Amino acid sequence: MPPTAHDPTSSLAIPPPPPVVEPPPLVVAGREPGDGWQLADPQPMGPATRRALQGIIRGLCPRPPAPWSEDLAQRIELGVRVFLRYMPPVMGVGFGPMLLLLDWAPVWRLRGLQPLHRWEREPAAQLLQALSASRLKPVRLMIMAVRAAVLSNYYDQPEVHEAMNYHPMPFLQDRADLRRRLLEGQPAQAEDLIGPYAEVLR
Amino acid sequence: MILAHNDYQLDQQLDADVVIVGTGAGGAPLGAVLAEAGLDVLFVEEGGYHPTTSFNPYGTESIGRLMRDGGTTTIQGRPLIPYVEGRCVGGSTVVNGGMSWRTPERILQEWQQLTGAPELGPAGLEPYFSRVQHDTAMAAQLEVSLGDDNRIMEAGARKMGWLHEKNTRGQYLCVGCNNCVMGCPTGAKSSTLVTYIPRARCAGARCATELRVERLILEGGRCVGVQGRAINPRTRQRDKLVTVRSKATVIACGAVQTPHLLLQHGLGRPSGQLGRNFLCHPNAKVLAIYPFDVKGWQGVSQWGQVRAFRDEGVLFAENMIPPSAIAALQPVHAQPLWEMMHRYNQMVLGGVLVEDSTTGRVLRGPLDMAIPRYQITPYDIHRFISGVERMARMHFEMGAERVVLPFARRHFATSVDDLANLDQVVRHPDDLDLFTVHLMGTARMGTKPRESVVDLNGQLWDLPGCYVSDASLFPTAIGVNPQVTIMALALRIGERLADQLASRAA
Repeated sequence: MPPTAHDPTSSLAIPPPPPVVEPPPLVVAGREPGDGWQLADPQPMGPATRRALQGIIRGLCPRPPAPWSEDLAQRIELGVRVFLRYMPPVMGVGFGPMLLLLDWAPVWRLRGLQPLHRWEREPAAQLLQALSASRLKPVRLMIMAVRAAVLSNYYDQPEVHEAMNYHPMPFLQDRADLRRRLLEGQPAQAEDLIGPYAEVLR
Repeated sequence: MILAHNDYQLDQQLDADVVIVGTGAGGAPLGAVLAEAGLDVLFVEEGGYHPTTSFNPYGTESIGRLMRDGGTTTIQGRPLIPYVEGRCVGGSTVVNGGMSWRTPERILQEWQQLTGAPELGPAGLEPYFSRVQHDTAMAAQLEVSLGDDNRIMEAGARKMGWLHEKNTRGQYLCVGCNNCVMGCPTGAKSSTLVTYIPRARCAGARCATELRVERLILEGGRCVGVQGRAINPRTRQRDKLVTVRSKATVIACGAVQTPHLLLQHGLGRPSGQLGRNFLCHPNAKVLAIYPFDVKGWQGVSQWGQVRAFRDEGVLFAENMIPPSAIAALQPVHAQPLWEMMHRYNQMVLGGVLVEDSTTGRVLRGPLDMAIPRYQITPYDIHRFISGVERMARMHFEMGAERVVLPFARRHFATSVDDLANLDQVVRHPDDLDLFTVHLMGTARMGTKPRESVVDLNGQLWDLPGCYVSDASLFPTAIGVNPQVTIMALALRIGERLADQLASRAA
């Protein structure tokens, strides 16, 4: 029976329930939830484009002491290639040539004769940063797109979350359990409040 | 019954009394009304069916599954404005913040005056707003859902002497997971996935998912259904042909995809307004980094709004998102980004929302691509600069160490001194980084065929049997989150359509 009485930790009255009340799951979904849906297969990519992508991944992602490993780089590549499937087809197809163009940026920026994937990571990162401030809008947009695709994958990896002290799953499970208790009519307790973590907010 | 790609034959034929293209705030309430009236309803949804039990906080999985084009959609213009809309059962209601504000009364009065229709005025729409309020359990949040980023915004507003109002949100016993944009993992947010869709399904409605509608079927000057192709979830290629024949067809694909679909048939006559009047309620993100833990990812998104500048058409709200999404938006990478991101627990993300002062247009591009175009005005630029400056100042007042600004020529501020002369920093619209989720107004509703695209029943003036039910209908900008307005109009159109079909059957 949903609670209708005033919650002792709330300054607000609980409204009447809507016609349909969705209960929380017993276990909040983790990675690759088993809802029958499958993520798209990675977009096929030739060896030159994959080398270019790996070079850009190395340039865009942080170096140790931030989390880094070859396995992580492979997972990011895989994530980007899956992501390409969800883009509009014309963008997905255009992404490969864009990677090759960026790989040869040292040449067309008159910074060297080697492609980016042969550069050390720090100068590669600096060159990519310089391109992001280019006066040419298409160049800036290229960097924006590639950055978003690569970094959204990097910052979604378990070891990166660990290094950031970001642990969403226990928190979500705790909240799902709390909502189930509220739906059963149990009042919220003081320990159910979130924070305050900051001294200035206490 | 929910159908997916595997369930379709190579050339699949389906029939229904009403086919509704889209399952979001426009399609689902209307479908529930029709199904509960005893009609055979078939929803068609381009995305997949993802129940509450499947939602997680991982962007690389959720964004592709739940958002159109993996969130890479942009509005063309200066600047380019990225936008996000849902592509899954429940549409954008699955990935929005759940903010539920009724249309402001002054806007409804304007609509009544503009159209001459009392039905679109405050009294005419009141019963529908009340129903939406009940159906989606619109209410302020429980105290247990409050997080530190919410507290900072509220305390900051108080310190600055600004009006801060608690948001009304469509939710029942929300406990502040802050996973709204990746799908609510507790089922508390009243997305249509957990409200109107279950009601419609209980009343017998079916849902054909993973199916992109490509064209309308026109016969004898009437719309008699839709045709589309199923999307293979592994290759994302469109393969199987699916044809749905119906007595009435409702297009509820949102303010970009609805005109995109209708424009290929040369519709929108005689006004020529189809695709025009595009509104997008743009916003600019302000990211503050504090010297202490805030854990903004815990606690509800948008507990409240700073409404002190509503007369200028400007709102502020906090709106934390997962690290993968924050990182993708930053102007730096490699070590400088890591130095920021490893302090994710100390971040507060907010938005400055600016009410439209102009309109854009949605065009039909090649390769089945919709092209929304929108150009912000000098007045908008001024409001963004002053809004961002105010919000950043508030964060410094609250003790922030650093604020990331949405300006290409000055991304970082470390004190209020860095907020000086911002109007000189933004020399060109391209110097602004904007974003939006509120797309509206491309098939405006009205009483005169020469001024509007659809009549007061939502039916196209130039195509009997074809109806629109989504944010495209708005005659003007509303300046608040549009979900409630869309749902109210959808209930109204659904009721009228049910009456029409019943009288036709009789």
